Amino acid sequence: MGEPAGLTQPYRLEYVYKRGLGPVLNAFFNGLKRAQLLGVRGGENEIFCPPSEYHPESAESLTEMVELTGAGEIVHAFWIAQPLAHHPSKTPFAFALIRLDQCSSHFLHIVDTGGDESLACAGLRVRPRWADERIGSIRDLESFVPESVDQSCVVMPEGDELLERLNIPVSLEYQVRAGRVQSRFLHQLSERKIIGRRSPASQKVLLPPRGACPQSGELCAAEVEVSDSGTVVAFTVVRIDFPGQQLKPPYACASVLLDGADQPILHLLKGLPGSLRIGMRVVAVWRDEALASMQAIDYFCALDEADAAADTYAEHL
Amino acid sequence: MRPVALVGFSHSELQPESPLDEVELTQQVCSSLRDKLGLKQQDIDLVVSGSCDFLSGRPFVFISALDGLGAVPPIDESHVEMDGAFALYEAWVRLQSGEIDCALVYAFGRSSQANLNRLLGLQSDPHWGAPLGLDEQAIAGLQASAAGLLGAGLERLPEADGAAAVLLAAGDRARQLCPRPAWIRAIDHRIDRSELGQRNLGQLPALERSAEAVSLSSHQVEYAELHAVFTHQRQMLKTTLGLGDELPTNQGKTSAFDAFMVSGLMHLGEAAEAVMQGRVKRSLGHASAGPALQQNLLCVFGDSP
Amino acid sequence: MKRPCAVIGVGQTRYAAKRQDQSFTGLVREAALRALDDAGLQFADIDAVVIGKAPDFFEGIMMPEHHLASALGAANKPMIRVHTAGSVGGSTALYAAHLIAAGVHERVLCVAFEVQSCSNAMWALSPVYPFQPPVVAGAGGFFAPLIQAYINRSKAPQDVGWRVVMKDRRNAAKNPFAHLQGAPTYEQMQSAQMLWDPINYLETCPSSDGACALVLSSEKAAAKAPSPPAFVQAMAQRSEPIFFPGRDAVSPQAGKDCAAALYRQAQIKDPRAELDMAEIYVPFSWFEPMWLENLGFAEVDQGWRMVLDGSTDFGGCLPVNVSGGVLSSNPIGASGMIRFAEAALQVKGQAGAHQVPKARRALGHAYGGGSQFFAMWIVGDTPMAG
Repeated sequence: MGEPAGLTQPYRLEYVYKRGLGPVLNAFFNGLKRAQLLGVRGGENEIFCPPSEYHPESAESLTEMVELTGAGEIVHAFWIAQPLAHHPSKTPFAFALIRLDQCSSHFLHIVDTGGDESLACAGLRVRPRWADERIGSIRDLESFVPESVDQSCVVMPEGDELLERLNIPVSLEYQVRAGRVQSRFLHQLSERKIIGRRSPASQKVLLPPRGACPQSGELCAAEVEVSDSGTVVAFTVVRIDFPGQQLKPPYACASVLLDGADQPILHLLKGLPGSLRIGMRVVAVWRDEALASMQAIDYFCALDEADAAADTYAEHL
Repeated sequence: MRPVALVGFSHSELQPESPLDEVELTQQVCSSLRDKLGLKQQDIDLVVSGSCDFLSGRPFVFISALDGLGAVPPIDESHVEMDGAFALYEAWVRLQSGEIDCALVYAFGRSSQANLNRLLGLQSDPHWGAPLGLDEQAIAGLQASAAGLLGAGLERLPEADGAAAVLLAAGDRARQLCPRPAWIRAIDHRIDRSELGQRNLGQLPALERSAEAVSLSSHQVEYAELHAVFTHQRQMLKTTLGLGDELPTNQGKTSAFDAFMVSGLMHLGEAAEAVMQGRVKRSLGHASAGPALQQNLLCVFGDSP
Repeated sequence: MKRPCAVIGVGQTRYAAKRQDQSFTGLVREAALRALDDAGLQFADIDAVVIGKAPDFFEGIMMPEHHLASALGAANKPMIRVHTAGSVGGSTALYAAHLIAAGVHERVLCVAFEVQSCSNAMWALSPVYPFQPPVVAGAGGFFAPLIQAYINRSKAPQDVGWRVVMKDRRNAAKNPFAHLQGAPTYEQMQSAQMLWDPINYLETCPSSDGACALVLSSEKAAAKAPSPPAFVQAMAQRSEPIFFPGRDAVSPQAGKDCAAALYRQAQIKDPRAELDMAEIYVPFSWFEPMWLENLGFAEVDQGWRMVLDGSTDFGGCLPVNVSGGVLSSNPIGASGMIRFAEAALQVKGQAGAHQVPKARRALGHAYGGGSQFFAMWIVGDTPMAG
């Protein structure tokens, strides 16, 4: 039995997350909007920036905000010679831990030395370069630059225009790879064959076949072709809208027990309530194109047959 | 404390891209471990696992892995969103209660599906870490710089997919299952402060406390397995733990790879194996997690309880 | 249990669709600080912290416990992150209880939370994952067919689910932390928009922000607590695979086994008679009768009768979800721990307006995944003898 190559498909996880702020972070991010850095007082000789709502050691609540000049010096730096797509600068820069004047913690940000790696090291005095348009984000502070570089920025008027939440876009790329058993099953689907596997322990035909029998944990080698028609053993009609939804509601999803299988599969059902019922007989409608995917089956539709007898699917309810 | 030992260790091949999925990886390591020990799933009192949803990009990835176990009839089971080494800790805690006698611990990770460098940036502060494009390289670079170990640059182990499983057993059950159990003489884990800027990245104070808690210096370990993805991190661990260069370290075959979510458990498994195979009387296993070695676990194995 | 474990502190946030007044860190601290306050302790008194939450996609932070260590006073201490899907709040409390019962620690803080307003639960739970048909439509999409199957097999009348909602929401009015306030009328239940047949909008749990925290301790440490402790008399968790031939997903074996283990430990023969109340994880109305059967409070296919005859009402023989339950507040990762916490509050006598008179023994229940992960405990006003 030749093993087909494992199947791979790209997948992206993407969302603009919203974060509530609370009083301390609210003050900090509204400070950024005004081109100003604020720290929080930790103890008599402690100021933390970025501010935390708690003391890092005792976890006591901290609330007293302190205005900083913004100037400081690099404590540690790591040079990025070839910025990646997710980095905040297209040209070489350094990630740095910066000790802001008056502060007892380090501020993690980036330093732009105009591409000069030798400058970006411990001891360099730096100050913020602010973005022209500021929205209340850590990126309002574009980067730190050597103090010697002349800087000016548009300072936004002070106001009570409070930020309510931060928008944090997250976008991650994946290459999803099907395993051995799943890859083979999907290849077979692309040939319009639905092939389950018999569990050596229970003698039941598992569908879709898995890397192991979920009941015994054993590998299942014996393949069993099943029919593309079967019986609806459970269903629902989805009427709710949600972000990322692929189909326009209402649509029906069903557990279909294919003839010859001992386990129902989940798929789409065409038709609306009234006509849908447990026990109804259905058949797969295949897509024209050969897909190595469960989507090789477009959906299931009703067969012109009498409903299955309840005892034929009772144990799958 | 009740004497508890690691009595069996099994791991998959470590490959840049494993052809196996979560179910298949779990099935492979759990069944090979049970076979080695002559156990059926029903003989095992507890199962604890570790895995990461973000690594696969979908929620509840541990649900499908359960299929590889054979969890019918239902099992006493828990899951941590942590390296398998921390799942081992939960199993050890449960064995302390005296109500169960053996526990299976497994972990799996398929880093090849994700961009790990990018993903690990999402562990840092959620208000500025992600928007700044902070990633694993940057965090590691800053730590190497803080430790004075940046030198010629960063050196990282290659990423790999894989899975591992171990069996813990208590008292006589351990002796029945293994001629030479690797007894857990001490185990402790701790976490450092959260904000990178509020830590002295060149030091690992929580690990120092763990070393004290397990009385590391009193055990005279002859072998150590340290979990560090970057070369400078391994040096930092040795310095913090007071391990000399003459101490054999990371000779296990899994040490050449970084199998995210699994490597920590593998290092414990390798350290225990050195005792089980009679190569040493005492060994140290270490696992780490989080940005810049924030979280560390130490486990001292010995040939007697 | 090797040694008794007590709940000496309970802390909850107010639950709401958006807690914009707090950062997610602040929200978690709000619950933790209240639990510490209840226990008369400071962060410094805590030996270890256990965190639980549902998938990290909700907040877009991978393993947020790394960020929460300092906020929860865990720097230089052990910190654990549990994730067992919807049951995680329960599993988190159980982990903490085991740390005490095993004699590893004296005082443990456990916290469970979810900030659902960071994203959208339907999105986070319905990835369009490669190779699959687009059939995933949130938790309701998964559970609706099970409910349909239950209705078919039990022949329960249509309004059972509606009555569960009306009861829980009436109860929520007595709980100042509850998200949804105000009970719907029968007519409103009848005409609510259908989301996933047969589940309508009002029969669905809300999406909430919130956190819940517990301080657990040894019996010795509990003796110094300012309020009466609740003792963990039994705890159990069980799991089974999500799909296999012949699986009864309506009343899963894992749930039955978990309850059986629990009653064995607590030496309970008749749970309905011997428990004074229960906090059961009911995210969709029909799960109340389904779990009543699974937990042994009712015979097979008869659980709905307990709903209709008022047995599970506030003044009934087995009050269920007097806090308002998951149907009134649902910060997913915390929802299980809230059940455990509310059970503890009852036996501590601290449940305020929703206190069940003379509650001495209570059940906390959580489940997750495809009705496949179960975590439960029984708390009482005394430790188990022996």
